[in-house]
Amino acid sequence: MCICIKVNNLKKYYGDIKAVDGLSFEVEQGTIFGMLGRNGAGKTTTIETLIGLRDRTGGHIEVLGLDPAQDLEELKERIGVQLQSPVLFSHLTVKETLDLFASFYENPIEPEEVIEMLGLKDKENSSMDSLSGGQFHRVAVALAIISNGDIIFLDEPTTGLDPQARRKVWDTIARLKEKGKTIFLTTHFMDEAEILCDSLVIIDSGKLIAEGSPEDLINQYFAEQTIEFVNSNLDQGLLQGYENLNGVLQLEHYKNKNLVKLHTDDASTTIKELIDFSCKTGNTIEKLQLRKPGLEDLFLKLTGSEIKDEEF
Amino acid sequence: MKSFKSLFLANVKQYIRDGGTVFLTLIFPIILVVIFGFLFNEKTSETAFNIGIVEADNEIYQSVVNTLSESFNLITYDRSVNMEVLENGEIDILLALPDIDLEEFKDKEKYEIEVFYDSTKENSVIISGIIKNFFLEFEDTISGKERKISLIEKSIKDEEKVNRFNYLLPGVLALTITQLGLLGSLDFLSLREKKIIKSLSVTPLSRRMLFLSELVLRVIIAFVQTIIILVSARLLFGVTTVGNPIYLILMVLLGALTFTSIGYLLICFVKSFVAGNLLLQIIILIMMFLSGIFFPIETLPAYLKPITKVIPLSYFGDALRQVMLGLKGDYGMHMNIIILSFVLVLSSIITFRLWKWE
Repeated sequence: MCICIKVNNLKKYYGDIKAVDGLSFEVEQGTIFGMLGRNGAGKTTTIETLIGLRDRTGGHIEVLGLDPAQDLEELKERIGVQLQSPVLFSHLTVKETLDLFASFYENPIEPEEVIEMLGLKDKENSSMDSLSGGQFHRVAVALAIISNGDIIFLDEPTTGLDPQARRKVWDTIARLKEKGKTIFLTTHFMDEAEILCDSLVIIDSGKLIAEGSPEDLINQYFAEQTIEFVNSNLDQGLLQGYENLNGVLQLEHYKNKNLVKLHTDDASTTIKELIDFSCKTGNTIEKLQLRKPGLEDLFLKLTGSEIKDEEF
Repeated sequence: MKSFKSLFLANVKQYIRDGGTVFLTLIFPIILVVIFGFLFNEKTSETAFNIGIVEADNEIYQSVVNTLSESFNLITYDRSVNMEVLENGEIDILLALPDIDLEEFKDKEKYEIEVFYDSTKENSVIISGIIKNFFLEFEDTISGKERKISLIEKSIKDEEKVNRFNYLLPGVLALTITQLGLLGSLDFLSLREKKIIKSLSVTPLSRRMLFLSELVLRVIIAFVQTIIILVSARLLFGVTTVGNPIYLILMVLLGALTFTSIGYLLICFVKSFVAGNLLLQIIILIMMFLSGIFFPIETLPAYLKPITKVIPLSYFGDALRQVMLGLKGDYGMHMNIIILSFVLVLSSIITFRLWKWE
C-alpha cells in the first residue's frame, strides 16, 4: 500500500473561526477518496490547503511526498485540480480553453480525448459564456483531468449536473482510477460517495467524525437492518406478535399507510419467522423489503442533521 | 514558452472577441483625432471667410480687391444690397466702398469706409479686425508713406508649416497611450475580481507569465493605436510628422511601459474594479488638464504650475512633441527619458512589494 496524501493534525483558522481543526487522514495511491460534509464543514478549505492555494495555520501535509507550502511549483506539475466555482476566459471556446490549459503541463492528455471522455464533443466550439451550468462544470472537470496528474482533486464534481451528465462524470472518474490515478473528491451526494469511493472521511465543523470505506462505516455504525411491509388488517395482537419475533430490536407502526418497520440484528431469522407467523395467522403481508442503512443514515446519525441540496 | 504563446493568444482572442473593448481602444484615438482636427486644423478654416464688397468695379479699389481675393472669397454686390446677406451667414462682413474717383480721393482730408459685421458671429468679428489692418497698409501704399517697421515671417522648418493641430497631435497620442496603460491594469483587477487568477493559479502557469502576456498585449495595442492616430491624422487632415520613426517607436514603448506600471501601482490601493476605474479616471483627468499636452502650461495659474512638473504625462507629451514635430520642448529630451524611466522603475519596485494576486 502506497500512501500519496498524508495529513496530520491540519489546522486552518481565520481569526476565531476554526475552518479546519486538527484533521488527520491518509489517501492510498490509485484509489478514489471522498470527503463528505455539510456546507461550511471545511471540505473546500481542506482541498485548497492540500493544493497549496491556502496557507495552513498548523499541522503537517504531504502530497506525493511534497509539502504544498514548500514545493508548490513541483506539486502543481503533478496534480490536476477542479475548483468548486472556477472562472474562465468567457470569450474562448471549450476547445480553446482546453488547449490553453493543456499548454501549461509538460505531459497533458490530448484535449480531444478529454472532450470525448466528458461528452463535450457537440460543445467544443461553443464559447464558455454560452454554456449551461452543467456543461461549464463538466469543462471544469475536464481541465483537471487534462493535467494527466498523479492525483486529481475534484471539489464537488457533479453539483448542478443532470443525472445523465453525473453518470458520465462517474464513468470518467472510474476510468481515471483504472489508469492508476488517485482521485480526491468532495461531495454532498451520498449515492456518489457510496458508489465511487473506496474510502472516505466525514467531517463536520472542521473536525473528522468518521473514516473508512462506505461499507465498513455503515457496518460499524449500523449493526441492524430494517424489514418493511404493509398489512391492511393490522391489530394490536398482530403487532405484539411481530415485536416478539426473534432478532427484532424495535417496531415502528405507521397507521396511515398500514406500514410496519422491524429493526433487527438478525435479518434472516426475523424474515423466516415473519413469513411463518403470517401463514399461521392467515394474514397477508405485502410489499416486503429488507432495507440496509446507507451513508445518508450514517450521516444523519453522526451529525444529527440532513444534507440538503439548497445548502449548496 | 509554449504556455506564454497559448496564454498570449488566449488574451488576444479574449480582447478581440470583446467587441466593446476593441471599439473603445481603436475608435477612441480616431475620435480624438477627428475632434481636435476639426477644432484646430487651421487649413480647413482658412477658406471659410466670405467678404461682400459694394463698388468692387471702381478702378481705384482694384488693387485692394485683387489682394483680398487671394485670401478670401469675395462676393460683389450693388448698393441695393440688403443686410440679410450678413444675417443669414452668406458673407462674414460687408465692405461698403464709397463711389469716388482718384481726384476726389486725393483732395479729401478724411475718408470713411463702412464695414458691416455681425457681432454675434465669431468669424465676422475676427475678419473685421483683419480688414482694419489691411486698409491701414493700403492707405500707406496709396499715400506713398513708408513704414519703418516691417515683420518678416521666417519658418524654422523646411517641411510643412506646423499648425495648432500638428502641435496637439502628440498630446492626443500621449493621452491615448496613458489611458491604455492606466486603464489596462483594470483588466488585471477584473481577472482578480472574477477569480480567473485563482482558477489559473492551480496550474503550473507562473504568475510572471500571466503578467508578461498581458503586458505584451498592451504594448502591441499601443503601437496599433499609434499607427491609427498617425494614419487618421494624415488621411483626414493631411497632417504629417517630421521626427525620426525609430525614436517615436522607442518613446511609445517607454510610455506604454511607464503608464502600465503606474496603472498596476495604483490598483494596489483598491479592492474592486469599480473603485479602480473611478480612481484611474480621476487621475487621467487631472493629468490631461495639468500636463500641458493640450493647454499651454503658461495659461495655468501660478500655484498649479509646480504640479505640472510632477506629472509623468507632462514629460511624455513633451517628448512626443519633440520626436514627432522636431520642436524644442519645455524640457530636454534627456530629462524626459530619465524621468519616465525613473518613474517606470520606481513604480515597478513599489508594485512588486504591494501587489496582491488574490
